[in-house]
Amino acid sequence: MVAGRSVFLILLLLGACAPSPDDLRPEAAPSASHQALTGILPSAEELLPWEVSSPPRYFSAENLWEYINGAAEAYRAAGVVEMVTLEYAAEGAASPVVVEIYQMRATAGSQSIYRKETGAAGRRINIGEEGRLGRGLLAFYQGRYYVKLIAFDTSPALEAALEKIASVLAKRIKD
Amino acid sequence: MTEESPSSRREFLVRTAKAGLAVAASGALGLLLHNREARRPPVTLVPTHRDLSVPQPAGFPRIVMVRGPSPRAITQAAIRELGGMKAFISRQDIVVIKPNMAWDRVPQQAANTNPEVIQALVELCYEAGAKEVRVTDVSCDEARRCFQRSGIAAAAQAVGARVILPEEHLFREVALGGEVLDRWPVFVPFLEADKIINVPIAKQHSLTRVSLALKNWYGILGGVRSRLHQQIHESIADLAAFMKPTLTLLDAVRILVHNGPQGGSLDDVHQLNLVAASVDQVAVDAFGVTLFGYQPTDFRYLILAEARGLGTTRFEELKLKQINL
Repeated sequence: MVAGRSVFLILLLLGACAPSPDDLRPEAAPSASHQALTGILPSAEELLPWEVSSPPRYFSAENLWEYINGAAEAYRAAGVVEMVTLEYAAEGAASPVVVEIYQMRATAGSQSIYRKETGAAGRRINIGEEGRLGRGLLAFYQGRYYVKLIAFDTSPALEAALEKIASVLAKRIKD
Repeated sequence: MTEESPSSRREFLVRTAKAGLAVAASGALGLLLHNREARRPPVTLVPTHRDLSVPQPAGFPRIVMVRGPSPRAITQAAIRELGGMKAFISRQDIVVIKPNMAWDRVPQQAANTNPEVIQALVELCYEAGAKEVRVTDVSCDEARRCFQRSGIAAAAQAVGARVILPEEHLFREVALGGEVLDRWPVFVPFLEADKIINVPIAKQHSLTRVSLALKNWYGILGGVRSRLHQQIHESIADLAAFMKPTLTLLDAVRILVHNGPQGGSLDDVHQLNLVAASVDQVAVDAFGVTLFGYQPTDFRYLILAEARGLGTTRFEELKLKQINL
């Protein structure tokens, strides 16, 4: 009986050390705001021949530093809620395109980050409420969303691709 | 139920003690396994300040700036003017080269150290007799992508360097002994190296205005690095006190003047075709800030580092050599 009690105690403590149900739970479903960002991402058909080559990764205001390190503080100050980043590639394209969509609390935040980051670089483009295309970077804001597209090549073909992808994204933002 | 005799009570106590030991042992084992699940690094209790400096041979300049169109040639010239790599690297040394390769960016975007600079340094280390040259960084974005896209992994591996990804089991919690940094997970290659060469790229940074050599030490740490942003100048000075490299070479072949540290647009990049090298990491940073139009005294972390005796901000007073190739 005593031995039985000891075995029970051992099992009890081993059980306490086992992974909690939280550890074993499958990855949580996207939050409501994740769904808002996911809803902006185009369907596969809309961007052809561009296809997702690196799946979406989401960052909140709390862990944005894991993606952009010290730059996260400026986004936090501007009221970032969360962001998603993913990468598109197309056969024969000189570079993939990295997309970053930041959801801010208000339009003032997306506008201020846009103006801070783009300045007067590049040329104005008619995408979103305001947008600019520089060498390897297209940025625009629409409502409380700030969107950046980055390419690792500056050929006219890639610039055209940036504009095409950005136009599709802008149309999908309903804010 | 029968009443237990004294002997059976003794047996009960002995059994209970044994059971207690078994429980403690299994509990410790469970805790260990659980901790492993939680990926907590092992703890190094002894403060391990890493002073890997080597006395510089007499007669050579303390800081060298070299300009020229070839990143490889200006890197070679800078090291030669400091006394040559053999003055700093001994035979059989394990050398760690620490670029900034924290970002998923190509070299033209100037967020990461120039790969040709790193390649030239790897070659020089091997020529000086190094047993192994390791190239690594604790990246901000996903390491494999950063290492590949930066061009550094391919450039370094092409000349025999070992490129080490910052996998989670390769961190050890270390007592840094800083004023604000106490215990922190440090990437093991930086604890095991015989010599370390710090090779930052010069770039604008949204928090510290510039990111140069001392800031580059953030890339030896794991953990929640955003915590460092709260007292960033003190943290940088603490890291510089913890890690005294053998050499520092600042890559200013291209500098990022806006939207650092990650950048993205080529409109934010200036081409300077310059490197600066020294055994004094504070002096390198003091020179580096001038590339952005600042004075060393504009930066509290530099003032703190100098006050702690880690180097001088008055780089112009050092024996200095500037070369145009």
